Amino acid sequence: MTALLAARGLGKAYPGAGWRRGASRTVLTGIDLTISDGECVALIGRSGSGKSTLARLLMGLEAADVGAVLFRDRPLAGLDRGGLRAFRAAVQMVLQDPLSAVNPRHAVGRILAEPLRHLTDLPVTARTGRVGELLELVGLDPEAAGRLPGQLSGGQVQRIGLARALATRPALVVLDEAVSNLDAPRQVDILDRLATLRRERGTAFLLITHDVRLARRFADRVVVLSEGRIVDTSPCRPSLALSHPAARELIDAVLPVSPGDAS
Amino acid sequence: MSARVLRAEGLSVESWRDTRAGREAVLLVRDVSLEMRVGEVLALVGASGSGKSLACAALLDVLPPGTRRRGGRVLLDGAETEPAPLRGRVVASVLQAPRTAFNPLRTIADHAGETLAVAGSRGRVGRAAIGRALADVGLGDDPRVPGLYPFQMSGGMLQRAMIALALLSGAPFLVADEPTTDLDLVAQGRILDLLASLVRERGLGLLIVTHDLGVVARLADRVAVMEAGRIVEAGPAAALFADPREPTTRALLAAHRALHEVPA
Repeated sequence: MTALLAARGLGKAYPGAGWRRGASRTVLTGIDLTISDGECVALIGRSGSGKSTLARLLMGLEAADVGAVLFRDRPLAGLDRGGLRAFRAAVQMVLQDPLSAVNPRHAVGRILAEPLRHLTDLPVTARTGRVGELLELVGLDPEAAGRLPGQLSGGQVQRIGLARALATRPALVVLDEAVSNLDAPRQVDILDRLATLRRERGTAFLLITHDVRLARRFADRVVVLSEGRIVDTSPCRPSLALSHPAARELIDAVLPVSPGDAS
Repeated sequence: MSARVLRAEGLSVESWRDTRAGREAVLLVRDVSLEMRVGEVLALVGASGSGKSLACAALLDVLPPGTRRRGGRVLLDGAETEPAPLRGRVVASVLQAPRTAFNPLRTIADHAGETLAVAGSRGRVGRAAIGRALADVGLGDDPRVPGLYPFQMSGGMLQRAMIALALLSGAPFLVADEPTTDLDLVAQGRILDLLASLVRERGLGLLIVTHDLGVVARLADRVAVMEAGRIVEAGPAAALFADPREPTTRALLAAHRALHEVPA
């Protein structure tokens, strides 16, 4: 396995805002993380631990203050136009709030065709067929292509976001709390679809979540983020072996399966 | 003399859409009955869009524009009452997204002042009550909390503050609509612990709306399962987990259990 995407000593701070201007806030410190082709890594941590900031840095949406993000061993900062296009096609992201991640005035078909137009060489005539395939891939009726996001349920729009991320046949998909807010049947459904995709296409995933259950069910290994640092890591099988207090706190927060169970 | 049982019977909620033939009513909640008892937790469970929140809104008489209650009645200790006067006196509520439930320009103490004005206390007595309520929800250690604005607080703190406001009203019943959905699991666990202790120690009667059967397993005495606007199954929580009868309940339970599995 080769390193698909890697963080080397990443650090990020945001300047203070409002009346406390000047006092900057460190969000990430010394992050080293490597994701290999076909690997599924879960990044877990509490709200405010820096998970989403790390995702933004890995996606190249923001620049780190220190360290570098490497895409197939080449720093993102040094990529030329063609290199960036290849990076964008290879690494895609699904966001937490599905409705705010799509243009409400665009039909689903147009939303899904957008990455095809910008990031692939697929001819215009082939795009419609591809959009239909993508919708089927996430378990939606190809007729949904003509609907507006507002006409679909939250779970359906989340699957549109997923289909859009898969449009370019990426090597890695970053899921930033993309399944956390769905109800259990929808969570299981989406995780199962992603597992199939992994088997069939070898797609790698970075699952960002605060829910240990999702991480344990889906990932090969878990990385724990706390106060901007990676504090613990463990493979998921045979069982999670995490000892850092921040990790234990997340594990202990998992609710019981049945009434009367001591979680 | 404080109320013991708050019961909603046969609540229905309708909306309407305009067609060429005129207005056509759409039933969103059909014949829903819920019974809250002091010292007990009733969980209302169902998938998104099954009508859980609307049923609660009908109980509290706070239905959103474009919907209206059609039929049903609310009984307090067996006597039929109007729902509106109960709000904030007999039944308090905690909402899903704490960040949108507070006025961003008002401090926590300002919000508490409004609640106290309804209860009729102010001044020193009121301030002492605010202090006690904040202490009850675990926000008592920091004396700055009453002066904080919502943006200065985390989601978990805001949800605690909202529960404190509910306690301040002195209402024996609390409706909590997805109170932990926006929180991470650690914050969620603490809020659920807090609610459980309020039920146990103060005899609060709690109706909690959730789509997470883990929350039900942690907290509920009784459960009602909703689908497509109806209650399809109801009963004691332990019985429902052990012997679910309806396909809806079974599907929810199967998915809930699958999330805890680790595929080999």
